[in-house]
Amino acid sequence: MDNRPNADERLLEAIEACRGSDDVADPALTPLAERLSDDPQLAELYERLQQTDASITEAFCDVPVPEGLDQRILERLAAAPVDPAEPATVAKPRSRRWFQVVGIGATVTAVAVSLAVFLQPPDIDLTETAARQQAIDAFQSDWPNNGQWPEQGQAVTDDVLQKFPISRGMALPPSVRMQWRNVKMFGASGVAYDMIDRQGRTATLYVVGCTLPGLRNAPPRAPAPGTAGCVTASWCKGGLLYVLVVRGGGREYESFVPPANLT
Amino acid sequence: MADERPNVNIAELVSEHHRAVFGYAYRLSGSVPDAEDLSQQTFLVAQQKLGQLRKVESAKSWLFTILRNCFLKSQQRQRPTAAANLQLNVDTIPAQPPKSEDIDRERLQQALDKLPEVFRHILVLFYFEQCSYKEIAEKLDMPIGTVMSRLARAKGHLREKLFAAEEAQSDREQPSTTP
Repeated sequence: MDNRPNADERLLEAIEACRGSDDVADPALTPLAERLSDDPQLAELYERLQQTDASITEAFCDVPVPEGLDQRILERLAAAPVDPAEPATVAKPRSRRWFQVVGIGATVTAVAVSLAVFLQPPDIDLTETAARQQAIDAFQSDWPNNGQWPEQGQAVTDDVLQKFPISRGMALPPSVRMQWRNVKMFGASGVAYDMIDRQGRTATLYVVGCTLPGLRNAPPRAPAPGTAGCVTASWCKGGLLYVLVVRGGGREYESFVPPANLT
Repeated sequence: MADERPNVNIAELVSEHHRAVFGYAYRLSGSVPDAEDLSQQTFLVAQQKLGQLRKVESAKSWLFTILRNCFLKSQQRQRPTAAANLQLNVDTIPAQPPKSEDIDRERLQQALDKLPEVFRHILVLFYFEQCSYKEIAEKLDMPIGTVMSRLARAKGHLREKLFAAEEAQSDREQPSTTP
């Protein structure tokens, strides 16, 4: 204690809290900066502390990582995109901006998502979030080059539309060009309607012969948050599961699901 | 309205940040299995909330925030750590600043484990995430004065466990002059 600088407790706390010249330059710490320039003993203590902290920082960050951890994380993500035991992790609309834009629609979507997670029947090993993620993965793979049609697309016929009708809420404008192809998703057969609008925006509507309890029966006004630069929406109607993937965000989504067409 | 969200996918985040996330988790939890669970949980939540990530460059900090929340949630189910009687103590600053390689990693973790949770959080934010005291106050929603006080005391505790024991041992190793 003999060589402890004559400084009060708050000064010592401030010295401990500072992590470099930037902090000392904080106007709130002007008294500390003045003391450091006036008191060589205090300045020496400060320097010693900074050097000690630098070594501790280095030791602190030196943590050996178990081998294969990244692979195990990726496997778990692929196997269980949503943990139903953790309701706090259910995807929700992202920000107030969405609420300002779409109002009550986003809330309805969030409720639908929550219901889908909690009401998931045990005999279907799939949640809505998992279905949307699978659809995004398929979309990414189907559209490797944005703007170029996926392979095996065919002209849409009445037969296909009768078997796998496009929801009325989508009511695509004539400017949207469309093709269809067979797909197998979520353990069921169905079709994918690939779409490109006049501005070159792309989307795919997956329509498959299975259902997920708790989903609404029409396209929502606002998409759910997605990944890989895509947004998604999902609903069930007439014993079919619909998952729409749109490259882009809310604006692009509205190109394929015009709000005016939703009641 | 243009969508300003970055185009990132979860696999990239895992590849780039799993080491830092694990390290952070280990310093908080003090056990390798717990840290791995916490890391996996962090990326699961990140995957579901990826749309909330605004800037790619803030991804690490965003993951750390998720991790802290996951950890806090898991701790609520456990017995709270007994509060330590922490004193402000600058005497624990070594006369000769140590080199990083001379710091015993195991002892460092043991010292951390003995700290009450809030003090451990502050130290991890300070040393691992390298936050300023202001950033710590913001992240923990705590007054700056409280952060300074707790940070100073937690650092003193850590140094005492890291260096005081070494000095005592080195004293013991000196030849005794008494019979």
